[in-house]
Amino acid sequence: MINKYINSVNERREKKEYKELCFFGYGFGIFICVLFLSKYLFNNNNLDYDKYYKIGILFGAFILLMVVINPYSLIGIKKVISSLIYGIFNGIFIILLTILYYLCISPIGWIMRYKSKKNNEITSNFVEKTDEIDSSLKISKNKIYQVFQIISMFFKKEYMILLPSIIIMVIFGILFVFLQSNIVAPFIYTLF
Amino acid sequence: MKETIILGISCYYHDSAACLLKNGEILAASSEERFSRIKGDNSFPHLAINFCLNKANISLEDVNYIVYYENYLKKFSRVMISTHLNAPKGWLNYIYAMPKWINSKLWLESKIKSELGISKKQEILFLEHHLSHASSAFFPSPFEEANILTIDGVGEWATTTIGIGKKNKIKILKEMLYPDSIGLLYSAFTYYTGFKINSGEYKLMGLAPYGKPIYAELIKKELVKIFDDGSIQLNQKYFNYSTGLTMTNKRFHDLFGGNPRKPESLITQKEMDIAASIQKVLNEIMLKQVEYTYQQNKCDNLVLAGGVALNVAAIGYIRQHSSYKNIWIQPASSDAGGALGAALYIWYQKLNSERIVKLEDSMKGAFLGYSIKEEDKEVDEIIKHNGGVFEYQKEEEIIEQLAKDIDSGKVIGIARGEAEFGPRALGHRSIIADARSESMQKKLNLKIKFRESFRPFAPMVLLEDAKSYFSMNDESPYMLSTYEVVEARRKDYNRDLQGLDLLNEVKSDIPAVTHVDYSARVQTVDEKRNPFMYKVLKKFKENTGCSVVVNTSFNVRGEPIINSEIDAYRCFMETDMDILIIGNRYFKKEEQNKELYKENNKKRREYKLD
Repeated sequence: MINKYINSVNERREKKEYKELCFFGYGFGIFICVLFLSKYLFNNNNLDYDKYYKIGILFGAFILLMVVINPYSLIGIKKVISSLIYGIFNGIFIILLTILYYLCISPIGWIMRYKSKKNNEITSNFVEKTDEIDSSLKISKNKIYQVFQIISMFFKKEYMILLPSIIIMVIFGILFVFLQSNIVAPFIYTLF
Repeated sequence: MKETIILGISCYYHDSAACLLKNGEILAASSEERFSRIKGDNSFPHLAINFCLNKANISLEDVNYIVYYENYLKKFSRVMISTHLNAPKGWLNYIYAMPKWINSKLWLESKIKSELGISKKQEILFLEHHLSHASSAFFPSPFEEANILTIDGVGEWATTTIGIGKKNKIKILKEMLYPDSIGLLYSAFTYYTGFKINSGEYKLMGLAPYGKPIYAELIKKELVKIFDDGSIQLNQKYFNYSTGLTMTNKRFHDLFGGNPRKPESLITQKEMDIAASIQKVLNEIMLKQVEYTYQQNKCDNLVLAGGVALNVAAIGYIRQHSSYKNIWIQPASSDAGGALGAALYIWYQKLNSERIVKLEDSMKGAFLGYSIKEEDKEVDEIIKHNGGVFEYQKEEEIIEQLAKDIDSGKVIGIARGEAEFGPRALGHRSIIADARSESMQKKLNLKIKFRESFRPFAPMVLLEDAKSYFSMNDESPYMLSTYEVVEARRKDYNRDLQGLDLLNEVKSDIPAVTHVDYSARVQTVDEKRNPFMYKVLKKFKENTGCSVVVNTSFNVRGEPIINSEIDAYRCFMETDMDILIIGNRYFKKEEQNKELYKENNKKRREYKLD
């Protein structure tokens, strides 16, 4: 019984890491092989480059071999390439968010501020608690349904005006999460 | 009877923690930081959960309900709405926060399930942040009925809530919403005076008695509008937390005549005066709120929770001036206690279970964490392997020896029994010393804890003798309120002195635990909750006539309080502590490997700032 839970957590972490390394190794290795093999096969102009292409093919094959022998040896390469790709993705994502911020959020925010000018004559800043407490206990099990839950919450709060930016952001979010998921990620690396 | 097991979790913001209830009884609760040794650890509390499950001798499959202390969807709605309302000023905040939300926080349920390794079909419950605090305050309290007040930085929308608790039900009546927040106001001043937010607030509180509240009127005039019911409205022109990555802006800095103090730079009279001023304003706000709750429901009992409830100076002020006869504060009032509150809410409010009120509360003295056994051969081997030299003694011998050691001015580390849940060390993971010594405060701060010299230490006193030392009529087992040293024990000192010069003055016959304003953060010790420390104090009183000792948490600056036997030994070897007690093991510093001590001693320089 002792440490059963923590052992299972470590086991899951190890399995996940192993799976990710295998995906990365196969994806990256195949990509390098295919890239340099195609270069080699279709290169008619400059034969001097052939030796570099051969080295590239061998490197790809080496990566594939390492996956079979010991995927953990690829940790270093994976870290470098992952952080590079993550940086690029993050950069693109921040640019998209900035565009969304200035084109959508700022004008909507301006309208909201205009509509809800505060009354300076208030005598208390306490408000009645209106939400039914138990309604907060359950959150849906399904991701897509969760998106609807988020949207419905803004309906309830009478902040429907926020919907455009919420919908765009959630779409970004789904894309981002999807692209970062374990299964897809190694193939995204290969795109670059 | 079928057992109902509830696991409460809080994480991802600060103070991750886990708590396990079995048929409503709090079986185990611990912060993740105690195991991971990362101060304020906010990661998923795997180690704390593992500890809870082990203590109950069950596996995760046996847990009937898993509950998280916050509703992240409601929190997201607050983030989005405030982003819109602050645009275009809040771009930086938005760019910083949104990727985190979209990438992980918005899919929290899936994340928790994946971390726990449970099926996607299994249900996880989410409670509101302040409701978790309110539950943690009321359900374990010793009251059948009480008014509830929760105050912290911010949860989903609420920053302060007022409610009532009766038998096994609580109801939130009113709330104050973001961005108007007492917690954030106090944190803004914590930031401005050069301390770290979420951990430096108690330093600001400790600094307050050295200053004069000369800025209090300015704060009330420019920064915060205080209504009669204690609700507040912050002038957002002076704050940056809604739009940027800092708490205050240039306008705020200009108002107080300069930029925020750089961390670790010299603390000047200005910082002390600011600390005194914001403390005065906080006292006023909290007292008004407390009185408002009393007007709403004339009940003699009040329970409090939330980070601001850990401001012992404000609590002491409320105790003195409010209409309430009884005040009880959740000892784990910060977000860690949210895990406990969420679990208790499910047991009482959702499952409608009967609540049996205990005279001395249901927190078991807050001793809910990792347990150090009196004897353990496996642990002995590990300590010896690490160079530890010790001898086993009977409990009575240890008590006798400790009383002598305290009297001779030695500094003693104690690690026995279950660790405390919450930020206070209450005698199971404590450093104790002689409160009568004039040099003890300085010695402990600079040579043992490696922290700022101005910080005060708390007294631990026998419950039955508390009145003869401090102006108090109730007990204070969790060290959550300040009380004044009685007139008869005070000593006059040079009032012309200012700031840190006051430190060297002898203020009472227990100078090591008397702050410059004669206040002390008292812990009363009774035989039922804390039998070992009770006996030590009794013996010490027998020998010296004094039943007060210094009690400070067993850790060094920047580290969480120690948890295990090895943590205790390592901390002992890294500091100038003289004696260490682990279970029934007695360690003397001079008997330890001197080379090891020198080596560990060098590590002092590596401590992170807190």
